[in-house]
Amino acid sequence: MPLSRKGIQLAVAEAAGARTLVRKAPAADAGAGPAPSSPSPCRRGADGSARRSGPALGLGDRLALGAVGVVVVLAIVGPWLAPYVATVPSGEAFLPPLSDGHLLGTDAIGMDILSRVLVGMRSSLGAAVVVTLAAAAFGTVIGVLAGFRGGWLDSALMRVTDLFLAVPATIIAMVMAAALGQTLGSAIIGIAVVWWPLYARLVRGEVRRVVALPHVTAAQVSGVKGWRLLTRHVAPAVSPTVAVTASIDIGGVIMTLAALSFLGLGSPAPTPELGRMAADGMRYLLSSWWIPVMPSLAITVMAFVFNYAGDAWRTLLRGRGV
Amino acid sequence: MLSFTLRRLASVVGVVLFLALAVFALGKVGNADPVRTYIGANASAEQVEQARAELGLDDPLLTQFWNFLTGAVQGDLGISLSTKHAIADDLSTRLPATLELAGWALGFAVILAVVLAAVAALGGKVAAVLRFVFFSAASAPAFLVAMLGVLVFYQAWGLLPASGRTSYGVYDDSTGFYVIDGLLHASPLYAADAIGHLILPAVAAGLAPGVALARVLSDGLGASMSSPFARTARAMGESETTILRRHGLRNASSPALSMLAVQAGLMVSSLVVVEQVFAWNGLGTYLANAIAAGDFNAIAAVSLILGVVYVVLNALVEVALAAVDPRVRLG
Repeated sequence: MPLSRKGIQLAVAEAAGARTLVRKAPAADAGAGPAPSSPSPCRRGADGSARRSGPALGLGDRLALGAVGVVVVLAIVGPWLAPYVATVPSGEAFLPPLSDGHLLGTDAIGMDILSRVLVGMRSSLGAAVVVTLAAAAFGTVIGVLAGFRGGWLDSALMRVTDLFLAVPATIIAMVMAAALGQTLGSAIIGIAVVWWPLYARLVRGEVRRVVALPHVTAAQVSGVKGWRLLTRHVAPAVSPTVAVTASIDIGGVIMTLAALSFLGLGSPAPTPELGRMAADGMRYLLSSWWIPVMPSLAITVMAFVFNYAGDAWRTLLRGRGV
Repeated sequence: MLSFTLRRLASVVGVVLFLALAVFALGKVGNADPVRTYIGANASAEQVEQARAELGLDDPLLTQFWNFLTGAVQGDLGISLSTKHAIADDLSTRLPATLELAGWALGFAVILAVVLAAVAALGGKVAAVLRFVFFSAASAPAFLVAMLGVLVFYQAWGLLPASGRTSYGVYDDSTGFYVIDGLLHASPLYAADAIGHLILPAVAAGLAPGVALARVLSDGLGASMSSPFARTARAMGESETTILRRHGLRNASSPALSMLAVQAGLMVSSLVVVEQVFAWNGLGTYLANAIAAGDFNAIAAVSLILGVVYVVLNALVEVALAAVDPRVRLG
């Protein structure tokens, strides 16, 4: 078996250097600087040079980061590029894609699907950014309070956070949105309410980790405390983690919003909202597939680009020791 | 172990109480008028009075919550404002429908995850392609997967049905689970037909959880396949597949099990969506109708049921993990 022979060689090479022991010792303070050793002597050269010449990003990762730019720009300027007004009929109904003047076709009452998708993408992305920012901001405040103050406040806040984490998020979001009425705003509030606990947990853990680091101890010894210690010495070390998590989350928020909108919990028609367009178009699936499929594809493209780029960004920052 | 189980049990009770309170409170602050939903906008003042009394809306809030809570414990979930039936009766046939679909979707997710993770752990070039597959599948909303399934397997190829749960009638003594019904009545045709109806919805609802599970499993596999015990096994000449099966998968399964519980919760929203696409007469369709009608009693009841299932499932998984892994129960 070629596989097992290669395995034996690898095993022998690694056993000879007893790498695990070397790797474990400095791992305790690995957060402070670059880890001094790589797992295997055979791979050290390749690994080291790759890291020195920049982040190890594949072509796909670069493309994904570029695609985020394209999607964001498209979402911002798209509505101005839209060939027709998105909320009134602009041609014959049920025109297939690639028809004259209607690139993605028209829907059941003759509204141009391309225009509607472009406007819908802006509101989707905008809403997702608002949800993520709100959740990250609130979660960060709670997490910092809990992690920095500690004591009874810490346990009280974390109890509440755990309670929110333990109930199924989508259900609470649905009930919230249903209670507040059919607008995009209530869907946003519904999702933000279930999204913040993740950030609270994350930030609390990070704050507690950072507070124990040598530079914070040094600052405390020289008399820095309270607000200044938090903003000058703790926050800069915590913020990259929050930023990365938030950027990764946007794809998930876009999809959750789409699901709520599909269920009729967003703004009612004719407001162009991707999930709602897909739901309303479902009844024409077998006769005019493009009516429900086009908006769904737009959601998929947006979520895909953000998910993929978020992962690429995480890899990139991890390579730099964040 | 006993004290761990008891602590988990106490927290389940606490979380369920919180959930019930949240759902109840949201129904009260909502801007829909339950009475108007119940009897319509043109009712006279006396009818409104009568309906208020019937729905128990004249009682103090605390009494209402107490009635909601004790009723729910006894299986009385109140009256639906839109169908005017007892919600518990409405749900008695729909809950099995959703559970059947959820079970098949989870089963599909687990199989998919194991296959994907094993391929990713063994293959070099394949892993890069798989990463792409992971992300595209995880980014497609369940309703897109469902639509494409209908277009390809129903409309183009005519292989699978696209709506409902069965092409035949329902047995009088139905258990609510149609595949089981077919087996109980020794009718393979009926069971096969029910399975045929299950395939597309189960794949649509299970794809995203399966992919998420595969990522956790494949991370865990990566760690355990490069660990000292795997190296030893390699040095002893065991084949990669044997190491994967005997050492890799077993060690990677415990984080995957917790992930499975999380995904089961996340699957709720895709189940609701998928049920609508396939006209699956389950909790999801009921919930969607209730949302459209502004029927908050039904919304509250369904949310509470789904929430309780999720919380209990999570607790069971944790207890199971604690039983096999002492780090969980002591940590």
